This record gives sequence, structure tokens and C-alpha cells, in this order.
Amino acid sequence: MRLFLHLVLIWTAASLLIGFLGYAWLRSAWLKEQEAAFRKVAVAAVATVEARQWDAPAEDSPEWAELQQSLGVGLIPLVAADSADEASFMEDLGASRVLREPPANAADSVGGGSSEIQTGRIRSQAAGSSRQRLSIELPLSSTSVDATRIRVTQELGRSPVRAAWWLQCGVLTVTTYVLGLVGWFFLYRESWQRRRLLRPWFRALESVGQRKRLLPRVEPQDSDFCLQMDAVSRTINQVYSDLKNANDRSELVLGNLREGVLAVDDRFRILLANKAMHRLLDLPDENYLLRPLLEVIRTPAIARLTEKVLRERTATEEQIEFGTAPKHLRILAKPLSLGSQRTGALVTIRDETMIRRVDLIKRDFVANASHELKTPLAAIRAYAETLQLGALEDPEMAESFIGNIIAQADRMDGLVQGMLQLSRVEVGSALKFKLFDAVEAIESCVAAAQAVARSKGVQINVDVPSTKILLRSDRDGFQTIASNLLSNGVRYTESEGSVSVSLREDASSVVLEVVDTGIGMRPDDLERVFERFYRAEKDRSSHTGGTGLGLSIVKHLTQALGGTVQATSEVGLGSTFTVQLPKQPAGDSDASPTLPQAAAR
Amino acid sequence: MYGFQQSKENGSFMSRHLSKDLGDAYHRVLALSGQVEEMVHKAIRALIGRQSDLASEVIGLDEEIDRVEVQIEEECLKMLALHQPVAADLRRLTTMMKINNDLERIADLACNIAERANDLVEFETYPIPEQLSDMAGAATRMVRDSIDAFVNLDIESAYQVIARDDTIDEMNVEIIDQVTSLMQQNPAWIEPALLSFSASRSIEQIGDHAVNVAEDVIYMVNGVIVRHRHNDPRLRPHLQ
Repeated sequence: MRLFLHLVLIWTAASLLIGFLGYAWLRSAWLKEQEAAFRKVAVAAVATVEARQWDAPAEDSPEWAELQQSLGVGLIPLVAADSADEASFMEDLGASRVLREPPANAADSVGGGSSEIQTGRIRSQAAGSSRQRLSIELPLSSTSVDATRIRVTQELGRSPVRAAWWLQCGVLTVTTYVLGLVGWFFLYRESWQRRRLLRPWFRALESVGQRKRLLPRVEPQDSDFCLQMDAVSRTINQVYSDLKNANDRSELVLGNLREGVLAVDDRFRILLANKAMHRLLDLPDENYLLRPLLEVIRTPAIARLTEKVLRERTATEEQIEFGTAPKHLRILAKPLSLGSQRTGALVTIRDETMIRRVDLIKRDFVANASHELKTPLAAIRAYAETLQLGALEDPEMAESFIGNIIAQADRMDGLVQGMLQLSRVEVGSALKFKLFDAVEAIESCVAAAQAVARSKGVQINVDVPSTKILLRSDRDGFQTIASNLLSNGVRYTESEGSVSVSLREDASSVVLEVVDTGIGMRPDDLERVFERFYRAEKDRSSHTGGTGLGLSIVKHLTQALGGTVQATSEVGLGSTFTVQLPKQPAGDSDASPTLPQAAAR
Repeated sequence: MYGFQQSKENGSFMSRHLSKDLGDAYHRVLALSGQVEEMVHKAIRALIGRQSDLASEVIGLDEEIDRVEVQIEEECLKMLALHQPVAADLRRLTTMMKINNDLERIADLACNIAERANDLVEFETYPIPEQLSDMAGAATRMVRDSIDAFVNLDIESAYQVIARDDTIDEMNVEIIDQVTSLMQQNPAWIEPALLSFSASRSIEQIGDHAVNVAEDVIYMVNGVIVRHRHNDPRLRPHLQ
């Protein structure tokens, strides 16, 4: 297309040039012809003037004018002395363009006369626009006029060549314009069509995410353009929302994973770090996309493992402790193919602090349970052996030994019962939800605990409302909780101390609180007090009695009944246990009860 | 080896070399800061948990840290001599040298804590103040945030780190009070109390080094030395 335009320009320029040259040539040929004719007319005029006798002054006579008219030329007689006239004439001719020598054959064509007539110079002068005046001065040989010379002038008409020139110019201009327009149309039609084709897309892009129909201002809504635009917009919106949903879903899943996920590319830049990663490594919640790994995560183990994976392209694993209150983290790093032969690293981090803790509790439980069961068993065996070795003969000794054996057996029974109860509660089978009066249930527990309390010199204060507190729960479970807390309180309270039991209700729950003035516990004991066999006093002497299972049973029962238990304590001042139970059992089991350890903190 | 933000100067041959060397040193400093932070964590765990093996591990790590520190410093000096950097590059280089130095000092302090932990193991009944753990957490947080400020050229958070030093100082005073009352309670606890006093002091000094790092970051970004100028009006909003 561009070539076409260039061709048009070149053509125009070339034809203008050729036209001009042609014009100049034609015009000069025409002028020559005109001059030759003029010369003939001038010679004839001189001959005519010479042939007649004129009165002086001749130029005023009517014949002179007639002669001028008939020949179509101007005739001016000139006297030789009239030098001033000559000078002014020469001045007049100063601007003349054409000073032409007569043609060599002019003498032949005229035939006769003096040589000056044949060789007189024709002067050409512009006379008005596009006109030419030719003039020639010729000598007079006769004395019929009172002059020595005569000037003949003739005006030439318009040149037909010039008209042709103008016509050519006009035609050229018009053709150039037309050709240019045609070229422009072809040149721009394509891009214009392209733009028209893209317009709906641009408009549709503007609407992405806004979910509204596009209403063009100009065209009617059912026009092709509008419908296309709507279709485009719908498609883009659909694709956009699909992508967004997919992205949101994976963000949601990754964000809610408990495991930290970190993807690193082959240049140690972060491709992805999920929320759990931020949480586990204590990072601010930011977008770390494409940040260098070390700028964000400087934990040596992670940098080391990532480097190892990127170097060796094999999966590795390590367990580290992180932070001052250590989190036990298991770091797993494996190669991640990124396509086009690039390999990054995928690092997952699992928080194993809880698992380790549970593991520890389990190990402790087995050790504790066997120890607790072994102690009475050893005592029983010792008593029995002593009896076998002859103590049976001594009725008094035998009596006391057998009493001891029974006591130890009772202790074992208590332990086994406790453990059985615990496992039943954990399974959650033995619970029967019925409506009962909590006040009455508490009072019977207090009555049972009074005997031990009195023997230790501990006072039990009861603060319960005089009205009934009805709740739908497991009555036996409730009583077990209450009596376990009570006997626990009494056990760790010295004489002269007191244990207070209070019961109150609010809109949806019943709160049982047992406050003792006993020895209390340190904060880290408080965290573990609900674990099986855990005792605050380290020497594990059983002088306080008890199986070490009571509070564990309380915790599990409370959880099974849908409630919570909390403990606060201060060394030397006593402890407070608060149990909150719902009045109605929860409809489903999905409401997970709060962990007592967490609550205790 | 790691991606590194190219410096904005046009990449003539020498400046490209400088930029690469600066990038290497930069990443070594960052890696060092991670190691030092972990060392402090380990030392504190050894102290609170009375784990002498962990304490010995920390003391053993110090040698490696010292080696890396010397290496980084040599590299920086080499860059100074070879490339004669100016303006931003020079500030960056000197800041890295200073941070490197501070990190090494923090590692030494972690070693001190670990030594105290080793000594404290035998005093089983002495209750080691548990606030030490919180205080150490706060101090290492400061170190980490100051390095983050260095990475992000974030003056705002550098100023915040400087302001947080007061909290550490308060915690230190609290622990000293507690330790003093323990000494009064039981004369047998005087020796372990002095040990935990020293540990607390070390942690407090870690906080001071974090402040140094933060000040270096401010110098690097602004070209203004804020050390010893805590009446600076720009500091005031952060000192509530």
C-alpha cells in the first residue's frame, strides 16, 4: 500500500516535470513561428508606407490609422534625431525577455530590400498577463514620410500551449487527489476493521469482575455489535471467575493446611508460602512471591535443606527445634519439577510439638500405671511371704498382715476401677442423659466426703442455692466429677484448712466451683495436672493417697458431658477448679470441647 | 547462587562485579543472622531446660560463626580495596561490615548464655526465672526485625526496633528484682542467681546489638547517623 502511494507521488512529479519541459519547448516553437509571421507583416507594412506619399505629420492622417487597422500592427514613425525617444524606448524594452537575431534565411523569404530590413531585431516584451508584444524598428528608404525609421509593433494573442499546460496541471492534481484517497482508504481500511473487531474486547475487558451488562451509548441493544460485545464480556467474565474461584479454592486449602508449604524455584526465590508457614516460622503475613529465600526465611535448617535438594535433587528430611519455647518441626524437602528442565524445591513443615507431647504422656502413662500397680502387688507378695514363713502362727500379726493385704488389694482395685472408668469415659459409652437436680446430687457427694474431711480436720463449706438446679446430663458422671474434685481438695489441704463447694447457674450452664486452701501448684504443674498419674509432688510418695487418676477422670467426664474445666492455683495458697456443664446436652458431637490444658493456661 | 536485586547503577564491567560480590556478601550476612538467631534460641533452651549437651553444642557453634564473620569481613575489605565503591554501594558495604560485627558479638553473647546454662545445671532446685525465655524471645525478635529492616530498607521498622529496646531493659530490671529476692530467700541460691543475672544481662546486650543493627540500617538508607541521638524528633513517635 505504501508502495502504491510512493508510485503515485513519483508519477505525479514525473508527469509535472515532463509536462513543464514539453510546455517550454512547444511555447518557444510557437513564438518563433509568430515572430517569422510578424517580420513578414512588418516588411510589408514598411513597403506599403514607402509606396505612398503622406502629409506631415503622417500619423495623424486617417489613412495611417486605416493602414494600421488593416495590417493589425502599430506603426510609429521615428526621426533619427529623436534620440530621447529612442532612449525611452530602449528603457521600455529593458524588461524584455526575447532579443532575437533574425533567421539566416529571412532575406530570401522577403526578397529584396536593404539588409537592415532583413536583419532588424525583434524585441519581445510582456504586455499584461500572458500577452506578448513584439516590436521591430526598420529604416525607411524613401522620404514619403517625414521620418527616417519606423517602429512596427504587434500584440500576440494568448498562446494555446499555455491553456494546455493549465489543463494538464488541473488533471494531474485531481488524479493525485483521487489516487491518494483510494490509497488512504485501502491503507486504513484494514486497521480500522481490526480496531472495530477489537472494540468489543476492550469494552468487555473493562467490565471484568464487575458482572454487569455492557450498554454501549450509541448502538441499539439488539444490534450485532451489542450482542457480540455481551458474548465477549460473558466469556471473559466466565473465564475470569473460573480462574479466580480455582485460585481462591487452592488458597483456601493451602491457607487452612496445618502443614506449612513452601515452594522455592531453582534460583532460591519463593514461589509460594502458605499461611501455616508464616505461622510456624513466625513470619508476618505478607506476599513473599519471588523474594529471595534468605531475605524472608533465615532459619538455617530450611536454607540448608533447600540447598541440598536443589543440589542433589533427592528428598531429605530433618527434625528441628525452633524458637525459645521450642516448637518441634519436621521439615521435609523434596525436588519440585518446574517444567522446562528446571527443578525447584518443595518444603513442607509439620508441627510435631503436640505429637511429641502426646507421645511423652503415653510413655509416662505406661510407666506410671505399671509402677502404681506394682507397688501394692509387691507389698501383697511381701505380706504373703511373711505369712508363709510362719507369721500365720501368730494370730495377731496374721490379722494385721491380712488387713494390710486387703488394703493393698483395695488400692489396686481402686486403680483398676479408675482406669476402667477412664477408658469408659473416653469411649463415651456409659453416659445416660437424664433430668436431675444438681443441688441434691452435690449434697450427697459432700456428705460422702465429710467423713474423711472431718478426720483430717478440714472444713467443707457448701454454697448452693436453696432452689433446685435442673440439668439434663449424666447424674453419675456429675457426681463423680464433684466427688473427685472434693476428695482431691480435701487430700491436698492440711488440717485447719477449708474446702468450699459452690454451685450456680446461668442461662445455659451450671458452674461447679471447688476452692481449697491447700498446698497449691506451680504453673507448669497446672498445665499437666489433668494428665493421668501426674502428681505435682515429685517424690511420688503415696502419703496423700489417691491414684493420680481423679483429675484425669474429671477432665474426660467433663469433655464427654460437653463442658469445660479450668484450674487456677498459687503455691501455698490453694487451688480453684471450675467446671462448667451445659444444661442441655449438645445436639451434635461436632462442637469440640476446649482442651483443658489450653483453658488452664 | 541466590537471586539478588541488581543495583541500579549502570552495569559497567567493574560495577557488575561489585554488584555480584556485594550480593554474595549480602547473602552470607543473611545466612549468618539466621545461624546466630538459632544459636540464641538454643542457648535459651539449654538454660531453661537445664540441657548441658545443648549448651555445649552452642559453645561449639561459636567457632564456625567466628570463621564466617572473618570471611565476610575479608570479602568486604577486598571489595573496598578492589572496587573503591562510592555513595550507596559504599554505605551498603560498610553497613554490612557493621552488621556482620554485631552478629558475631550476638553469637558470643549466646555462648555466654550457654556457659551460664552449663553452670546452672547443677543447681537443680533453683527456679530459673522463666521470663528469661520471653525476654530472649523479644531480643531475638528484635534482631530478626532489624535484619528484616536491612533487607527491606525499611526505616520505619528500624525505628521501631530501636524503640523496643526499652521493653527489653524493663524486662531485665524485672528479672534482676526477682533474682535479688531469690538471693534473699535462700543464701544457697546466691551463686545460681548471679549466673542467671549474668544470662539476663547477656540477653539485654543482644537487644543493644539489635539496636546497633537498626541504626546502621537507618544510616544506610538515609545517610544519617542516629547513634547517641535519641532526642531526634523522628524517633519520638516510636517512643510511646
